[in-house]
Amino acid sequence: MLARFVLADLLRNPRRTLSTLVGVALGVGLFCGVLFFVDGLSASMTQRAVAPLPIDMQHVVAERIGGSLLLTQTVDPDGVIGVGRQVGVTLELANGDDVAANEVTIRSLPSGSLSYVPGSARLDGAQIAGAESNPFAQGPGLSGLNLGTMLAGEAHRLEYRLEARRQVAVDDAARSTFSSREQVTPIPANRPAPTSLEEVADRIAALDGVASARALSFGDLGVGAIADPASGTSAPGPTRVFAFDAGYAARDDDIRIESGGLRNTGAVISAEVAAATGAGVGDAITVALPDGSSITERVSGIADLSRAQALFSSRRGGDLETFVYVRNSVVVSPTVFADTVLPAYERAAAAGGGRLKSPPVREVDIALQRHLLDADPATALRQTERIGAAVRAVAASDDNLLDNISNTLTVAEADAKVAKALFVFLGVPGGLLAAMLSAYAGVVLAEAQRREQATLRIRGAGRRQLLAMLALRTSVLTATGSVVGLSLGYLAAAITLGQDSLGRASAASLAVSAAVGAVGGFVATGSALYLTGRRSIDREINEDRALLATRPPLWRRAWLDVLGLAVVAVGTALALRLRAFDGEAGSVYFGRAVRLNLRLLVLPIGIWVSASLLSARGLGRMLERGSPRSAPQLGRPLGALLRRSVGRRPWAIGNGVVIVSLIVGLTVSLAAFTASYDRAKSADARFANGADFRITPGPSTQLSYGVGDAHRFRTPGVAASTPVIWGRDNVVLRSRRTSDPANLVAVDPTGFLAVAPVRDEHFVNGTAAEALGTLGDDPSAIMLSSEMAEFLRAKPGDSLDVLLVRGTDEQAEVRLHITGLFERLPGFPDGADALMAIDAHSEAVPSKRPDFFLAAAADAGARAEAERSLRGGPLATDRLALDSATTTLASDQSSLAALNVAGLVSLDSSFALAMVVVTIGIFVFGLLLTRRREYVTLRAQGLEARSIRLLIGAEAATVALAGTACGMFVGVGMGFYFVTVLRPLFVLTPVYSVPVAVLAAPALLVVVATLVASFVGSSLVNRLNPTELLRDE
Amino acid sequence: MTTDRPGGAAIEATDLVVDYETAAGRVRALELDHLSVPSGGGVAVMGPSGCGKSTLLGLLAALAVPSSGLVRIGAEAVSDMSDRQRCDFRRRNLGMVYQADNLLPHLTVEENVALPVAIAGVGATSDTMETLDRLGLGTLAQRLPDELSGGQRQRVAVARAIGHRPSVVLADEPTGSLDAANARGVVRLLVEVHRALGATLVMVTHDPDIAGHLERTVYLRPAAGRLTDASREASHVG
Repeated sequence: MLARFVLADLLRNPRRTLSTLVGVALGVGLFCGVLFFVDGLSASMTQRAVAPLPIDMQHVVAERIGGSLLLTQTVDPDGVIGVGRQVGVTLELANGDDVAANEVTIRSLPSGSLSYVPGSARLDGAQIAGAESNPFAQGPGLSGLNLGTMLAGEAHRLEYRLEARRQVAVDDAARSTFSSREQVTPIPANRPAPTSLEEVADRIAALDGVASARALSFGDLGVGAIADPASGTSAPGPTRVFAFDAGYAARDDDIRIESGGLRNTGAVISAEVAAATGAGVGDAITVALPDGSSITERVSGIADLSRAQALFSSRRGGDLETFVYVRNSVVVSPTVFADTVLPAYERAAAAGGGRLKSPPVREVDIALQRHLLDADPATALRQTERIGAAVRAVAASDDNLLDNISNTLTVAEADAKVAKALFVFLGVPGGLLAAMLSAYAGVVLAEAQRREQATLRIRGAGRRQLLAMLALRTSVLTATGSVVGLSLGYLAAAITLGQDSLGRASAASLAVSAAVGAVGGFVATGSALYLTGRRSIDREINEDRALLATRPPLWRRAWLDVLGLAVVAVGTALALRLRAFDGEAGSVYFGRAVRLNLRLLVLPIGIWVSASLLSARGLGRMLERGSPRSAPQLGRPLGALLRRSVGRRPWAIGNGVVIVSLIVGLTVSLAAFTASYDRAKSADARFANGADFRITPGPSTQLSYGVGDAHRFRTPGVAASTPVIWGRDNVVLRSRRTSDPANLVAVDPTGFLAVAPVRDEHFVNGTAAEALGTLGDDPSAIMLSSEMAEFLRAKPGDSLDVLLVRGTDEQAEVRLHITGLFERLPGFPDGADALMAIDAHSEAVPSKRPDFFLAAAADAGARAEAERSLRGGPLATDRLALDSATTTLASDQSSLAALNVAGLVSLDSSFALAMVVVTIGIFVFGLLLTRRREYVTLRAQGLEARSIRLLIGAEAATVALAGTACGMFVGVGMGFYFVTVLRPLFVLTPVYSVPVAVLAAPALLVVVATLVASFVGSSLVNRLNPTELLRDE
Repeated sequence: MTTDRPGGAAIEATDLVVDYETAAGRVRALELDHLSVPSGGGVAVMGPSGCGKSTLLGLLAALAVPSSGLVRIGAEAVSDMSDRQRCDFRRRNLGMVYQADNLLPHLTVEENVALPVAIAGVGATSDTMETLDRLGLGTLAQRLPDELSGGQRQRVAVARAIGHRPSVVLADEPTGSLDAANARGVVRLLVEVHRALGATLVMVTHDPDIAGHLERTVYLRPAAGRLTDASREASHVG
């Protein structure tokens, strides 16, 4: 009976039902949409995080030069022996290398249940002197027996006996190891014989989840190690020899074979070697090896290796991100490396007492089947760790695995958590709005139903029945709204992210989001609707009616706004004092995710709610003050009615203003945040790139680009270009106290100032223009980074000896004096320690050519045109590499850098703007529901329909305009807090910007919504039946 | 039939039919052959529930138009007017009192009374206060409706109905929500102002005692409900 009545009531009041339903659906839709969005985004974080990785895993063989000894242990008898029985242990050690091993020591520890039989130890059949105690585990340190030097091919046999103190299995009778000067880490007995690198690669390649495993060997050779025997010309500078097969090269796009090819016989030389020696394909080259020998190979190809990250990334822990390019490189076949190059290193090591300054590296570079990795970084990390464990199990225990992909995913996992928290926080206001909008709809609905409830009471309905009806009505509305909202949310997320991205999310995570969103939305909106309705039922009609006019709502009486603002103020002061806004920027290579103090996001939400409430309170006060005093003459009826209506019941307006302010505030803050975020990320990328564009001549570049050739890159859209000299450890700086290799930058000060985004705050004691001006005016000027100055214990004014282009034939030392210090420079992510004028550099080293050129577009709008003209001009005629701020941003490995904040904001904003329309609609239809008797009374008294329409429109406009104005004010503040709290996402301090278009869009929409709702609403007034309404009590 | 008085307007209603379209079909709400109230006259309309009393009053108040027939107030055929013309007519000529007071809750007593004056664009401050004083409401002038008793509110409603000196006052069960004493007071007040202003008064009531305060009582019999052309049955005015 009750259910039938409630359903009939809902169906007979379609506008009332629909407005509530749409409010609930939008609120739940926004909440669900955000959750689905987070699912979809998380689902692409794995792919995004691992995309820039050149090598997933590197299995580095730890076997040392001169350490190929083999120790075999046997025990006789085997099985179980009783108390007092003895067991014999035999150790056989053989040096299978062709070089000697020094200081070879054997250690053998009996298990706890066995004791050494005094005097039983023998070496090659002879009793070991003084072997009353175990000679293989002597003294408190249990040190082993030193056999001295073992020549190539030499072998020893060692024996001893053990006695059981209790019944024991003899399988693990003793743990024996050996070590040597060359092999410091003890190697256990019975270790499998060393396998070839290719064998290890094959075993790894057979593992589940591994796409390919390719062997790579390389070693550093001396200066000028590659020469053309015909001409006798050698390539100056350090040299590196590589060994990898054609399969390895085919997998890496950055290994570019310019001519010829990589064959099983012959060698590929770098373009720089070819240029320096004049050797071409088919010519012979000689490579000097570390032991003084050399190999001669026929050149099978010439390659550009200048961007091959996999070959030149540092293998030193803590320095893995550094690209250490060696211009003079040669690639030989793996066989030649194993048979000829490696033994040369071993011989050099043996001759040098077992140590090499720079031993060769032998590794297996592993690529995983990335498409099998789970979309969620946390799950993908568990997968890669399992694969890593399997790789470790394949080879010797002392080999080293550089698990780059797991390191990246560790950061991505943390980033994903931060992203989820961030997005949920950005989405939380949407959830709050859903509840508030429902509460608002509930208030309006309750007022409209006041008379109906009174009628039902007169007809005998008790409080319990009314509450049951309310619960039923609320359940139907919120359940339906939640289902619609759920679908709406999924649809919105799919449109924003794309169905592919959302489709990658696991069904489980989508199901959880759906459940959380729908149930959460049902509970939040249902509670809001039910509680407001219950409050209305619990009041007597007359009391309620009296309260309508005189009593402000709870939020106004409880001073929640002032309390909230006080909390925000105290929180801000504390955060500033504790430097909580600083956070910590992320680094993939340090395995560190961005650290955001998400608790601080309470501040923008606090300011959002409290400032909206305070604005409404202020408006209410203003309207009250503007209300005229009672008078027996009214003047113009429309104005008189409007002033009295808004002035004497300002809280009806206030409630609407709060909701509109909250919605507009959220929209403006998110839009302002996005604008600032995009701008800051773009500025970050531009800073990292050094300018809009970086043009780098490569080894296979045809033309020669000197310092004066920057004008070649001033193509249409390019405003300026400038040459830059930079190199890793390209100079040695020597102060009076100490010296150190350093990265020197040489620029044209005027051009660099015009092209690069230099910032005053990055220069100590002066502006960028002043600092660069001094460099330009003074040819003996040099600037140091604060860090380098501290290391050198040098200060401005001090002299500094600088060895330019160190390690080359052109190296030259100049004496400069320090004119200033800087903190950082744009364009040098690997670091810049010193800065000087390029003219001064050229004067000292005339042959040095710029390492790259920086170019700036005329303005942001001209970037696309500039890129087109560069690609169509200089890049089309020569082999130059072009990096732009966009490509720099794309290669940022931080998954947070590529967060689709704009997508989330679009989703939030779309829902929020729809909510504005619904709010205005609810306000207008609420007026119609609660004041229809007033309107028909006015009509009966002869007030024209046009005037009533104006009255409704004016009240709705007051709500809309005041709410929008308050919302903009609130949103600007809220957005500022968002940017401040999320500061660690950016490298540079973001500039907070609020585009005018951001303010115009919601304002325009609110005005249109108001006009439409007022027009529709007032036309409904004309359809009311005045005869019926006027006679109803 | 009473003699015309100055200040009032005669009411003539002829062959009035009001039909409503409902989901169940067309329903006849009113069928009236003829009703005539002279200028300044006072008529009570009685009849059982559903006979169309309020519908008739709605037609006389120019809030609705009949399906057929003619309503003439004074010299003007209000049933033929456009919505705008009827609005203008109401503003100038009519005052209404209902069972519910229908006072605007955000206006004080004096403002409620002054509102029709302001809408009609006539009268002055003294008129409003004079009206309130005459009805004994002077001391309540600055109160809001929710600060008044039911009887006081209904008296304010009467004051509001006559504040702009209408030629016709229509009252639809104005005492329906009042106790006997207050009901008598309100009726007495209505009759007094009707006589003092010379306005024509039509009052719908169920109470014969109240009807007895007026010069004439007419009885409205229910229409036949759902009509067909063949079953048309005239209502009779007694």
